[in-house]
Amino acid sequence: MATVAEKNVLIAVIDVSQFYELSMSSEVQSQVLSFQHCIDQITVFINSYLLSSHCNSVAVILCHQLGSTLVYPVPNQAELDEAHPELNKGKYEPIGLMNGLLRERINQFMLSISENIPALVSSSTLLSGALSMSLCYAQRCSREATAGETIKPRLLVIRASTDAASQHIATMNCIFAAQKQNIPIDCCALWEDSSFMQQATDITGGIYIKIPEPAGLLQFLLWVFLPDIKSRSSLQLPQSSVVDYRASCFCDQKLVDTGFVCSVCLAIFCKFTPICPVCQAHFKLPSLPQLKSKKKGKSSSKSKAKQ
Amino acid sequence: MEGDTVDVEEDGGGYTWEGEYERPWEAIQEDIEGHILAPDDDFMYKTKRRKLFNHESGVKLGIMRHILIVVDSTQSMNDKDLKPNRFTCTKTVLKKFLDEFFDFNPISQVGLILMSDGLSLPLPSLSSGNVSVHKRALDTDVECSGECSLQNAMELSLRMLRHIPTHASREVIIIHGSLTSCDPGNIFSTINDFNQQNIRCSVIGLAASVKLCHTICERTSGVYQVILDEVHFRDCLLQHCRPPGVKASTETALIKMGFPQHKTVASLSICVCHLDSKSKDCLSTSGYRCPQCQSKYCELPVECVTCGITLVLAPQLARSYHHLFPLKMFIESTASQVYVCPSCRHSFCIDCDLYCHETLHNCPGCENSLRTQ
Ligand SMILES: [Zn+2]
Ligand SMILES: [Zn+2]
Ligand SMILES: [Zn+2]
Ligand SMILES: [Zn+2]
Repeated sequence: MATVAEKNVLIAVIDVSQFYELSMSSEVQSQVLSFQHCIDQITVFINSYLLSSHCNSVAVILCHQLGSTLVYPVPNQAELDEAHPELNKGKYEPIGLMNGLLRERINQFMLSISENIPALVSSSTLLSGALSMSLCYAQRCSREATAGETIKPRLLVIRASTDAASQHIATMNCIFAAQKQNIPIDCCALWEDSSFMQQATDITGGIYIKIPEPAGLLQFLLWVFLPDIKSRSSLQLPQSSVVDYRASCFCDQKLVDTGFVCSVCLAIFCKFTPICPVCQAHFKLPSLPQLKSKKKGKSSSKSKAKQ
Repeated sequence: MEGDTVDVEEDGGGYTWEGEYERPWEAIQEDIEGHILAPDDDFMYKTKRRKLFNHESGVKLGIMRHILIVVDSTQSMNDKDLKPNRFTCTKTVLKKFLDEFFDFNPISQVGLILMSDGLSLPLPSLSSGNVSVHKRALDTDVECSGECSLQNAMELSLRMLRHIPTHASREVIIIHGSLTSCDPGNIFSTINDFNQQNIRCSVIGLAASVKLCHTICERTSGVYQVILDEVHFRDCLLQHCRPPGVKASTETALIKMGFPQHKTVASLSICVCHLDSKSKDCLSTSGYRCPQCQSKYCELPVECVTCGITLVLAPQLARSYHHLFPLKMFIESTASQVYVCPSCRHSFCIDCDLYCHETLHNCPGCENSLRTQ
């Protein structure tokens, strides 16, 4: 009988969109987190995570307006393993090797996107793409697990930009897929609150924090996100009180408190439309105004009759 | 425990007699050194992909259903004719059902009731639209003992469903492993009450056909099914995912709905839903407030008692959006084992293809390309 081993996989999704602009602007203020500083802090966190247990492994995905890239592990891991057989042994030196690799790949990625600056201006970070990719990666890990090995993936999103309404459906699909597979999504928001990620953490049972001081990122990473899922119940972790569960309408993707919902397909609209643009169902005019006009007509005719 | 549960989903997904004639010994392959290689999964994949193509479209999603699932947990559920035993198998199938159910019925609620020792007890999760709460409740250890009382279970369901607004559909599904029912009174009067309250009662028998169950289902316009094996059990239960009689009554309409936010405030206030329960639960600092009239509720979805608007959480609706915008089938490329997304031309392996269409409902390639909007 094979021993049942648990293997933890931490998939870190790093949103680098804002950093790029920061690293481009020449006057980087001291209190603002610089890109290099941030990557260093995340690397320290990843190292601590790897060193805390031999069953821990890590994947790093960078996401940006132009897409997402899996920067670690590298695609040709097998070749790399041959060149540096000590890389995956959990020793101290391979960690250094990994750090070098990580830095190299991240710099490559940043260089590659700097060639497409015009496209960056009007668009937002493709969070849904990064989440889809992470979930596919998690799925691959469980598929490639050896017999008797259980894979426990979790996602950590380091979020540095605002939500895009156009990604709402795709992001929700990711969240529900994660929920179904019991993959918790954690989020550490740097500058702005992210409603998508608040919902994601709430639905999948992860932790959401918006850190008050971005420069202190590492402190929060080590304090909140380093312990494994099992230890969380015995920790006093920050509670997020307000989760924005408002819907965004399909017509112009505004957040709405009350809206009209198609009874056939459940699409949400902020104003009345006679034909559902999603499923082509025909609706009757809202019943309330109709009734009122009828009553008015009757009462007026009655009053006429009285006269 | 975990290793013992039979994952009905994983074993190919069809009935034994529907499959092709199998010669498993021929499928075994050896590599050069004589080690046995994993069997060829090709056939299984093909069936799975065929299933994807068969997914129907045009489901009516906008129906609020309240379902109580009554699970037999009497002595008879310890029988081992289902693997590993009836009760464990039921739990596995139920979890699968809950996942599927909320995809089709996003604004519905499910409650679980256990029958044992002649009594019936609602599981602590009560009625809610939260899958994980139910799953956790199912995972608590239950000892199967005693006899079953259909009448007690039905009376309890009646009490739980009575206050549900009439426009919502009220249903009870009984998973019945026993062949007897030990009732305190006349069960036929309970059946009549069900009829009056417009509650549909269906029974899934795990053992053999029972006349009483037949009568219950017939009189309450439910369905009576007796299962053949684990796969058939799953199919029988999953049939209840689809909203009943959608074509007949409902007409298409735009329903006004409210999307309240969960808020915690400093002062205590009373929620509307627990007003008549006389318990202390109704006093709390947090809850969902109706955006129209500010009435407070502690569970959603619900129809506001004060102003009549349906209150839901946006994610409850979002759960079924993949039915609205289904992911296009990937095209099997001429180079075999490669599947290409027709929109973004990214290619995927068969495992990713199945994962994207069955669970994720996104194409990672499309999501990672810049949208032209
Ligand atoms: Zn529609
Ligand atoms: Zn109200
Ligand atoms: Zn693949
Ligand atoms: Zn695609």
